[in-house]
Amino acid sequence: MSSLSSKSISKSLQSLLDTLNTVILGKETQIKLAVTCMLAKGHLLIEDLPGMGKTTLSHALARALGLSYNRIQFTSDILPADILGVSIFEKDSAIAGSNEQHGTFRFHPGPIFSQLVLADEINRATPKAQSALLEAMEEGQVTIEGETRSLPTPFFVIATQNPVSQSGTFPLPESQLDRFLMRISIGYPDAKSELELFNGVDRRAMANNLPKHIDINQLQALQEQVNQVHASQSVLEYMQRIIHFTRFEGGYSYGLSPRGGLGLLRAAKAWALIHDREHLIPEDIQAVLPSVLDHRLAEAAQQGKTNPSVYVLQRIPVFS
Amino acid sequence: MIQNNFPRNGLIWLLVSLICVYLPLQAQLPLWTALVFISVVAWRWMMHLGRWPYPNKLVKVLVVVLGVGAVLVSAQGQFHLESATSFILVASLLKVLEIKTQRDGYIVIFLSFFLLSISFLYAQGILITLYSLFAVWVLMSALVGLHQNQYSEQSTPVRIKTAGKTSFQILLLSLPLMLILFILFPRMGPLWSLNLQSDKAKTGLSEQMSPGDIAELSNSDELVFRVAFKDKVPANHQLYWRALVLEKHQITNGQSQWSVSKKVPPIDWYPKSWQPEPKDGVLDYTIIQEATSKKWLVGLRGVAAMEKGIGMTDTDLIVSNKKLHQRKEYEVRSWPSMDIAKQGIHSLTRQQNTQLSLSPQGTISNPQSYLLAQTLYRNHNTDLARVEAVMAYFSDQPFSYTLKPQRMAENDIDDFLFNQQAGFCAHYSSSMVFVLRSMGIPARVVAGYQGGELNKESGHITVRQYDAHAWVEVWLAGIGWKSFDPTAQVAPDRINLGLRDSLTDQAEFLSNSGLSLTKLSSFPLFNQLRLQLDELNYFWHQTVLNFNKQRQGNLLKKWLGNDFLSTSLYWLAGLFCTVFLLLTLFLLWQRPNKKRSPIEKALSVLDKKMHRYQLQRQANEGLADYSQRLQLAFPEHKDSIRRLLQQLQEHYYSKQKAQTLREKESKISIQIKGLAGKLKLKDQ
Repeated sequence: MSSLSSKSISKSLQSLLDTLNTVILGKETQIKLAVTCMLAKGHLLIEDLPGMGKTTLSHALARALGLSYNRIQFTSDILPADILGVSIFEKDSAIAGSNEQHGTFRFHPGPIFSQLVLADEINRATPKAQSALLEAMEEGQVTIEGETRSLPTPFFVIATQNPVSQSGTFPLPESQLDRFLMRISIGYPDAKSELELFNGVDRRAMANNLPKHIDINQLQALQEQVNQVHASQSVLEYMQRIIHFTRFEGGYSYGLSPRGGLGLLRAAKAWALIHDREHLIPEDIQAVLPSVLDHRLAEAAQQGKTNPSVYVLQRIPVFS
Repeated sequence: MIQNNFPRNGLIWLLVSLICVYLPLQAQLPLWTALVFISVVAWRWMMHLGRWPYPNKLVKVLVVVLGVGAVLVSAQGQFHLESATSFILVASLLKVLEIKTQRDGYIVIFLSFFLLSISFLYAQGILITLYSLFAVWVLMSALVGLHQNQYSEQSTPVRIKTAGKTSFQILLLSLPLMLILFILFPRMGPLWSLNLQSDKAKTGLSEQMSPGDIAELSNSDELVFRVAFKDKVPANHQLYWRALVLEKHQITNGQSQWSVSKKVPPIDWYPKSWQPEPKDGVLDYTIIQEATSKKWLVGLRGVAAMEKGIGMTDTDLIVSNKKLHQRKEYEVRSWPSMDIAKQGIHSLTRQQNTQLSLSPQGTISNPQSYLLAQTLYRNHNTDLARVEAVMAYFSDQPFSYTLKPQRMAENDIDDFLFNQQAGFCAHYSSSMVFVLRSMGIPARVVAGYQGGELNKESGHITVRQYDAHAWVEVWLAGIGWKSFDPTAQVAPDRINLGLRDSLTDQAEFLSNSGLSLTKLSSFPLFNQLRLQLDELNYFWHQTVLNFNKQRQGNLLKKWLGNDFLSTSLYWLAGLFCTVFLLLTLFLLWQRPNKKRSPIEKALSVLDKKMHRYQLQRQANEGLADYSQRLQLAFPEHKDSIRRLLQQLQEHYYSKQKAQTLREKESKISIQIKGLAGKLKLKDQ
């Protein structure tokens, strides 16, 4: 594992972000958040309408980070085997070391065996299929037919779902939403970006041809670097006040779990790293809080308060 | 700090509770407060609907100035209870316009609790108590409404109902505690007493009687005192409740005035004072007298003080050693048939009781009456016969009884005796004493109350202001002081039945008192209701309002059987209070009082400066965002702002060792203060 100097970190991260920004136009914040999520070793949920560039973004990320990439289109009839893989009897195959042709079961790995998996329209699949993916996300390994197989490292899942509840969807329950470190939505581009989009080349092709900016070793080094970001007592207390508020004061039926809190800290640190800072400031937490908190508390929030992060941030003073 | 907004749903309960608190007070306050109240409630409601804005600073200042001005004008430069009440009422009403946060809601509700207890200063009857209980329930509901979760899915009517239910449960739970505290909590005397009634508002006997005063009292059905006789209740015509003896005669504007002589009478205080032995003809009774802010007490003829703090004067009256700022219950013993000063009276007393003022011109006033006196004196041999002749004069001549006589001309007694011949007790007693004194017979006006209303169920007598009366006492050699009532000669019903029954049909009785149950007493149903209510109130006064230290001690002794236990209760309460006080002080002392570092001080200097430009740092704003904002606002200082706030941020959040920073700390803070001085918006 190569240790990176702070200068080269900022340089490689900056060029990564710049490249991604040429593919998805005018969405610097969302791209930063997506990269933050990767640096914080978290899975990403993108919630948006079809055709907003979700797939392009994930494809571009995979290319730019030099990760192997697979896409699973979730449908209502998809089965766990379609995701995880299946053992198939091969008549012509031989047991290793023998020449006899007996025919054996051979495991055909599913699309999940890749470093970056795009799970498209995850809420279209049945809970059974969803849970197959979500288990893999949590454990980093899958067990098929009694045999445990490790997933490649690093292992990221970028899942997309449509916000509009359409017929034949199975919304993810809270426990499974919690597996995603962050949830972002991309949103419509502004006028300038859209005109540029019309004039430019095909973005999908562009994503496919992106050069590799960071190799896996560098990525892992960066992830290691995230842990080195210093969080002072003051900023930790600020974060704790936020978490406490979601649990006991904000009027939510439940608050942010300790796992969510740790995720928030990691995401904020990654955000600080992207901004080339060696210490955490309250603004880092404020920046990542919406994508970390809102999907976790979506069910807990009552009507009229579907943006818990906005509500919480207004009420918690930075200095106690 | 974090402030929650005032919940919209809480407003309905709050407004209802305001109305509840306001209603009993309005009866005591000038009418303009009603205008303030209605406009505030209407304004607040329009604000709730979003049609009208919150008042801005100018409007607030204007409204406050107007409110204070109105209070001052209606107080007419005097400080009394009404002006203080209207001041606090107006102040708390204006606060309603300002409600924005939950905390404002608390303030208004706590003020309302205070206002509610203020209304007890005016009345303490059972009805107002029950009403207050209701008002407390509404106030508690408003308090609950203030705490209702703003984000719950309940609809407004459900929330309102829930708040009412919750507060009702709270009240029910606290009821036993209230009873225990009422019975057990040590009764301490008031730390200070205040004259709650302004003199103008209070009707009652005054120490100076000019004709017309008592007629004014007949317009009031206010309670004066209640009496419970131990044994048989005497007949109505025997009930002359003596309160004041008016010996001094004066002439003002041609009108005779009688007043209490200024000399301080020798007072025998209980237990040194005279007491009759209980025997036939001696009456024992208990009086519960309402506050008068005077010292006089009431009693029948031949009165004797029966408890500590009460003394007897040489004019056969009992007085309290303190002014009656509160309701007082006391035991009295009377021997109405006793001879008073049979052996003779002191020459000074004789002089006082034969004194007559001259007219301002230095001549004898009321010459016609003087002449009548001379004639009567010559025609009869004994003083008793002369007095009876005066009484006969009233019954022989066509005198009539009216509460609304014409105004008397100069030499009013002449005008009354020979021209108008229509008046009420004050006129009759005044002229009779004048005539008697003209003959040299010692006589005096006694002011007090006559009769009262007997409640047959409970056996107590209720005396109200309209029972006020004045009659005459004459000293006769060999007999002593003897009472005569010239009014009885003219209007016997007034004495035998009481004013209420003798004048029920006349429009002049209680003509100013508006709707009053007494007025309706000719309807049997209402009369029954009135009497029952009166009985209830009597019970209330006797058991609850007069539950004083002595009664509490007796009750505890009865229950616990031991004096030690009740005293130890006092000690326990004292201990509790002390511990509570100390704990409060300790907690106040312990309040986090963080020492601020130089950097924090410098930052607050900068914040204060920015506050002037409305650019102050928000509580939820980090330093980086603050820096961004300031850089935009002050482009010419962009670099120094960025540099300094960057350093500040590192001071708070970076990993660098605190020690190295401490050296820089003072430097940074000086620079920040310098920056704060430099920053100026160009267009200001």
